[in-house]
Amino acid sequence: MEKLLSVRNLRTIFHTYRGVVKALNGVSFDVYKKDFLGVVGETGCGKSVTSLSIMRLIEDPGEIVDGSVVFEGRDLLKLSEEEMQKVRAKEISMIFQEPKMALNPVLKVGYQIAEAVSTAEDLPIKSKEVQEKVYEILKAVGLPDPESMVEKYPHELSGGMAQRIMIAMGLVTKPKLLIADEPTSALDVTIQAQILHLIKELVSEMGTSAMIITHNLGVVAEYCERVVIMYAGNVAEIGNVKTIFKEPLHPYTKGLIKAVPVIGTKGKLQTIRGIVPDLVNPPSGCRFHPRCDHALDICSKELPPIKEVEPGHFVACHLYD
Amino acid sequence: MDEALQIITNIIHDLPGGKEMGLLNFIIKRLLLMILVLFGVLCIVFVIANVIPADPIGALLGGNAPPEVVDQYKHKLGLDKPLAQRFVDYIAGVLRWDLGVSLRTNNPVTEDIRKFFPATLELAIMATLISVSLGIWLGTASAVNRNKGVDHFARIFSILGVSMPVFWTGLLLLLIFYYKLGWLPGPGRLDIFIFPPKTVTGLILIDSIIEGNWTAFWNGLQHLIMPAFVLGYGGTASIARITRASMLDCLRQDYVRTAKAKGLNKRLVIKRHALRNALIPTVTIIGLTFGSLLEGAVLTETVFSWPGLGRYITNGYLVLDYPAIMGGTLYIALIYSIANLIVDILYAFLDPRMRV
Amino acid sequence: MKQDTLSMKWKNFIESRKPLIDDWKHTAYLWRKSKLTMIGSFVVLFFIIIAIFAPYIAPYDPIAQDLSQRLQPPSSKHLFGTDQFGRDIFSRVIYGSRIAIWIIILVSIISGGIGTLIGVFAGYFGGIVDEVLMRITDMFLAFPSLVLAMAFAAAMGPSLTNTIIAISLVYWTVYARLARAEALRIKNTEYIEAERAMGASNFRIIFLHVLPMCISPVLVQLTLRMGTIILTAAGLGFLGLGAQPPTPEWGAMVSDGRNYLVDQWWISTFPGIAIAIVVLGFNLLGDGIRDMLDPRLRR
Repeated sequence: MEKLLSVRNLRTIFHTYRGVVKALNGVSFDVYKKDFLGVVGETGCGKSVTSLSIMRLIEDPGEIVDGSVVFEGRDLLKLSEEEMQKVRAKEISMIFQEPKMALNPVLKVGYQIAEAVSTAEDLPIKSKEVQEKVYEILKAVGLPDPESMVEKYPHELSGGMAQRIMIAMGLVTKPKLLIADEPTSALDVTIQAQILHLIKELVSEMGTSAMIITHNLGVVAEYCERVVIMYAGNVAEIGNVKTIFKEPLHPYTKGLIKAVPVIGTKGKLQTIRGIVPDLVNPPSGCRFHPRCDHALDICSKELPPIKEVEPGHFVACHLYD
Repeated sequence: MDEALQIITNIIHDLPGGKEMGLLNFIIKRLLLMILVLFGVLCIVFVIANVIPADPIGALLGGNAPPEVVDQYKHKLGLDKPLAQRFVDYIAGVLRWDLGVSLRTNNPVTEDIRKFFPATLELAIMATLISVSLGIWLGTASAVNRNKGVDHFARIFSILGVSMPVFWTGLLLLLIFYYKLGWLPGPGRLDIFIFPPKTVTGLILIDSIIEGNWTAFWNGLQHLIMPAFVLGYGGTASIARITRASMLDCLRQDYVRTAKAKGLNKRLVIKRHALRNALIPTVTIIGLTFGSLLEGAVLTETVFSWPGLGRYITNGYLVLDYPAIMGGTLYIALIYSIANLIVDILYAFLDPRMRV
Repeated sequence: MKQDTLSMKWKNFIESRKPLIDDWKHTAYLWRKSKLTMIGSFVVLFFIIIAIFAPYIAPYDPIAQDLSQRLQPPSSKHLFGTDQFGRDIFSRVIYGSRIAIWIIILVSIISGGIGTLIGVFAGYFGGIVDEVLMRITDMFLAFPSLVLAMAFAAAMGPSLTNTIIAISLVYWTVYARLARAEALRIKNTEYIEAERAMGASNFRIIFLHVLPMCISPVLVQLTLRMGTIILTAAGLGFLGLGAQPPTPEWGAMVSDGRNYLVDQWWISTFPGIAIAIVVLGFNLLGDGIRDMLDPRLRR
């Protein structure tokens, strides 16, 4: 499979009153062409920060301090702001968690979608070609009556409709990569399925790669082909969804999967002991070691490197060194 | 600044049919509310003038006036009638737009108002222009360059503006620019020897243009600058502060992040997304600023001997000229209410979520 | 053993209060970080100290006249010069701070008290009570504040007491709206519903539960408004509708100096500077407090 995006050793920090939060501690993974990648982890593990770092949308008091994000041969972290804006307009699109907040409340949704096309293709917003593209994408995301939909304001839409608008806005430019940051977390369960289905359909039609960030393992299991498991600013495990779920290697991954209750079984809810670490003073070495039942001596001293244990299956754990 | 004007023009051009209905209902409701409130205003003014004062006649004539004179005055002012009757007369008078006769100038109060209000209006309009343009520009520059040099300068400038008492700033500027430096002319709207233009609107600048009287225009402008700046300075500060706060708030919002994620450059993000939203509270502040302009006008007019409604009312208060006080205060409350109404409508117009 | 339990209890106490303590630590950090807020705090502190210790700081009696010393420019004998009656301006400005503080405190208490009560009643009872109270608030708000205060002051007769009452009658509206919004929000919490389910009477609920929860935002607003109160009082004083001579009220002092502005600029200038500095202090402090409490601006 051809690589589309290669993140290597990404480090991002945030300056706060309590000190420096080391949010990303050397994150590395790849996204392939036509991939449907899930990025999973608990709240605070750095999955959103990763996607914002890729898009270079990290602002004061945060900064990206190390690493490379190579997209189609270019390191995005080294581009000028103007060049990065072009990338954001045409190559990589991002959609966010709360669609009604992510849309501008005083602008019509049609305008906001048209703006995306106009910026990417450098055409005037009101031009015919742009309008046609807007209608096209509205139909593609399953929204009826495009002529009246473009006149609506975000507060007039339901959550599901608003998210479809966001998807439309993201895909109308036919990007090479779509990053979706918790696209369904703010929606009802029934709508969640529809939206994820829609995303999957559309990206496969367009040949776009997708990176879905979520805390929901179920979503990953159902829709994703590959998955990246993150913990406290590091990548724990990467691999095919089937492999990971059948034979998880990293103790954290094992814990995560065990924690999901299975309908029909009895017994106590399985948890991972301990709590998520403080990222101002994170544990030394492997950040998971205080909570790990299999921790070795070396785990508290050295950060485990990522190793390809089988083709396409990567783990960052000293148990597999 | 011209960006903001461009946006406002764009917004006006964006009016499609669907918006109108919700907006119309809103306007009607607000109008009815205003009428109710104005009635309450009438009551309050009546109470102030008639119920609170212990002995209005004594205050007017002094404590030792002979009883017949006192009675005569009482009858003349209608103060011998029962309170309820006076209230009815008062309301009837207001509805006829008859506000009585000023005890000081001996003219009908309505005539006095017509004579003096345009001066205040001209001052207020000029001051508003200064504060809005300067304020929005300073506030935006501040927010975009948060905590850098521009921001600090603008914040200090603004905060001084809301801290310094208007009358003191006026006196200081008068002292420096008129008495010491002689750069700007002194009190009044025009120099004594200049022929004023024929009164069409009562606004000297406009009337001069209509007549083509450039000497009067220039002279009037020179006289207007200092008081307008003094009056507008406080407003500049308020507007800048609110624009800054509102802009900072907007720049933090998710939709700004979305706009950046779409590849828009910083200027466009601010202009198209942030500014439009940020201006919404600013518009409200402009309305509030207009209110503070009305009260600032009272103080500024006193300092600069500007023959406006503010000075008229102040003189009325000092000698307890009740008809003038009541009429003048009522008029100011009316103008203020209308201004607030316009702001509310504008607010609903700009923010579609408000048209409930 | 007793020692253990005590230190354990203290530890537990600290643990349970940890979120609150963290919050305060964060607030202190924000306060330190903003130089302007710190400056504002010190100015206000300075002002309060001067007001308290006025008799010890002022070299002369503020109302004592000495016609042999009239209209003297600032010198080592009279730091701010003297006015047309030979009174020492420096002493008058110092004593003026007492008047200013007095006005701030009384106006805050009266307007805050009235406003909060009205607002809570309106918010809690809703319906017609709310409508009527809010319309009355609107009616007061239909006047620009100074104009209405002038009207009250003139009608009641100019004096310091009446200035305080007049300004209070104008400013209560802000707190009424605020308290009402808070009351509306609190009214529907489960906490209050539980109280009602237990059979607590309305008055008990209002005074013991709703009211205390409204006080905090009202207090913040009160602080934010203190600068404006001084400005309004000074405005009234300037126009002759406030405290009467010989009371050393700053606004009136500025007005006193108007006729002597050209040659004896100090009579009007120094009281004005005093007003500007104190109001500036309150504004900086208020801005800082507002920034600190704004949940969106806290990092």
